[in-house]
Amino acid sequence: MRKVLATIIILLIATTAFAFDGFTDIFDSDDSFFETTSVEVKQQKLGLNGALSFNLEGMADTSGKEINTSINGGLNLDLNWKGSIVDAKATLDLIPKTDRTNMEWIDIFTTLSISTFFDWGRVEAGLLKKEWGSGDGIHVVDPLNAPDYRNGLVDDPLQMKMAEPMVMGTATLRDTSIDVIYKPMLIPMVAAESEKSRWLMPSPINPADIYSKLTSFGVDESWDFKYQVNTPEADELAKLSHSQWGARVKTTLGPADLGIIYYNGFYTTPSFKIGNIQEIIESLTVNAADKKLKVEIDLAFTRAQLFGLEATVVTGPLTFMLEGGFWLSEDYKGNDPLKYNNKAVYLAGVGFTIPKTSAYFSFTYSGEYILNFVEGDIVVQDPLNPFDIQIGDADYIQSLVSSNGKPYMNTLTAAFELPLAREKVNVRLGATYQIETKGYAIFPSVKWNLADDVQIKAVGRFFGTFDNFIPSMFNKWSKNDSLTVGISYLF
Amino acid sequence: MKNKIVVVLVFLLLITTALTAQQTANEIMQKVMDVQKADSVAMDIRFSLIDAKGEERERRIQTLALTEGDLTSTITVFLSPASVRNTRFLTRERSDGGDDQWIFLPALGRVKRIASNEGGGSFMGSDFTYNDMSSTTYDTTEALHTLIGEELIDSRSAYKIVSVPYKQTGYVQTQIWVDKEFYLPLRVEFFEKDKTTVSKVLTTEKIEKVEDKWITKIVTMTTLATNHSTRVEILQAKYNAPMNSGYFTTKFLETGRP
Repeated sequence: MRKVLATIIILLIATTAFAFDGFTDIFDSDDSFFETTSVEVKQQKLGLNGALSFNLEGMADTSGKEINTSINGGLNLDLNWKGSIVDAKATLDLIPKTDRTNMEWIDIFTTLSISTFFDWGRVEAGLLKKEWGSGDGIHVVDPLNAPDYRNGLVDDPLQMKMAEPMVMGTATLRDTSIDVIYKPMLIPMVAAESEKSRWLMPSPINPADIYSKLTSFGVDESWDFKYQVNTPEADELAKLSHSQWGARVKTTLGPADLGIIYYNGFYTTPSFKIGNIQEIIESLTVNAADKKLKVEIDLAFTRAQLFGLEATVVTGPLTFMLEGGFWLSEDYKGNDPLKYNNKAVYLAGVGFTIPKTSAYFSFTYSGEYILNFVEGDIVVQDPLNPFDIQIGDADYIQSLVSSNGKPYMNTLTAAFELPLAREKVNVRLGATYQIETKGYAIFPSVKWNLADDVQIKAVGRFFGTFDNFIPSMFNKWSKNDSLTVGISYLF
Repeated sequence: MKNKIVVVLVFLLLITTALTAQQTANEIMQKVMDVQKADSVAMDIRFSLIDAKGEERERRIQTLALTEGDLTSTITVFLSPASVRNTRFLTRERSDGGDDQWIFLPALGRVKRIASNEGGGSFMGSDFTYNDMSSTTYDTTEALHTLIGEELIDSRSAYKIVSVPYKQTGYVQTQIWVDKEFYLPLRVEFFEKDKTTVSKVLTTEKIEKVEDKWITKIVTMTTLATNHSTRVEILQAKYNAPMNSGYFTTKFLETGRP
């Protein structure tokens, strides 16, 4: 960890820094504010902000009779150095995890960037988190960072994004800007891997679920059961063939901000198929006496192009948010079982501040529709097939775990935020409901600013479903309700 | 958050220079308007939120306003406390009379287009709301002003004017004492709908000459029901200073660079 810190500090000193210390070209800068919040380094400014926090999360154990606790506080450091034409920034989350033995770069670096400014725009490079789309945190045309599901779902989708290596150039002319982005490698989504993790994603191809299906076919402990996942190597994902790029043009037209998006990259969710269905069926039938069974799962990533639109339209006190897009898959004909098909994505939302209050409410409807996918079309009625699918089509498997086997998935999301006691207290309630699986997540929170720099909070996470027979992450995590209490010092 | 820039404008309205003589209420209010005119205004402002027990919390903002043609653009940057530091807010007046507004929240790291809020929400937890502003219009076309006398306020001679906004979005009536020498509002009382109950009082605590203009250096808004008050101190003010138009762009919101 010390090496990491030392590297960052050296990097910041070796380059020159994205904060703003006031209009120093207009106001006299010799007052106490500037002296206390930044350090002059040869006419450049080194800034240090962050938060020191201590959080305790409690979650009922699977028996429901005991509470498991975990500590997830730590130190968040925001280092920035502002030079004449260059900004450098590093945001580090130094957060020890009691349930994690190794910390990876995605756990530590929230941002690590160097930005160079020109008259016409800027270029940023490093480990970046970027956001495209007009939605209120929820997007369907934002392919720039893969999500991290290792700790389940949280109320802030941005927090679930992983910083990725990328270069982004932005050219600006009046109210029009063009972003061009290049990512040299594919960083796929991450999820809990340990079979013991309570945040394991639901999947009909994870070993526990497969084994449970096989038991009804007579498989038991006496069988020689082997499970093999053929995963693309990390080196493979870093090859030039896995680089990604895209561009967005954004402009303002009257009461609307409009954007056009093109992205040539990958679906960040791996696609998969059960590679040896026929062999498995034979092992369970004609070769059952051998009591040998091997299940092979092939993983792959699907290259696709996104053609998207985004719009924010303001009318009166209402802010309307619209996104729409079409993912053109490399399997555009929909006949490769290992690759995802084309799909259309859509989002519509509205946000408004409730009159005569500071309370804010937003409501979003979003979804996707997979093309060349006929519901139930590839279901095999063969009672000897434990998986109900003939060749393990990636889209079908995905739909089984995310949308109850439907080619479409629709989600409602709402958020309500109410500042109280002159903004000393902030009450928030976020909720999401996935229509096809009837699963839901509710995120209530209360934050109380004891002082401007000291905050205590209580944050809840509740997952569930209105239909226990439909597989979904909400169903699988329905015993993962938790309550976190914490205290933070902001500096 | 969306009201912030509007509330900031109240401070601009409180800035005037000295004029003279017996006048009608409309003429007095027009002078209050006229003397504050400038092509550009920059202010460094400290808010002190003071609760009934006397405990204080501070907020610090800087705001720039630039008028080109007849349209004014305003950028406000929040410098402290740490929880709102680097939040930036841009308002650009449109020729149809409406406003375009964007906000940059550092926690999100991106610029968001937002709707204007004509509600009564508090500005940064202070005693100022949008409604305070809309009820305190000095524009002679937006309110009926009536001169009802002259009084001494802290030993200074002042016109006492009752203003009733034509469009009532908040308070139905305000009572304003305008300094006879400097045309600064020395005191404003905000009335509830019954027109007899005063809910808030704005008082000028200090005036000062900046460049060629007299300004209200320190004002305090007090909510009488809770005895909570907000003291607003203008730490620095600059008029007609050269101002980079790049500050009034979404690019500046996102990068902090004009």
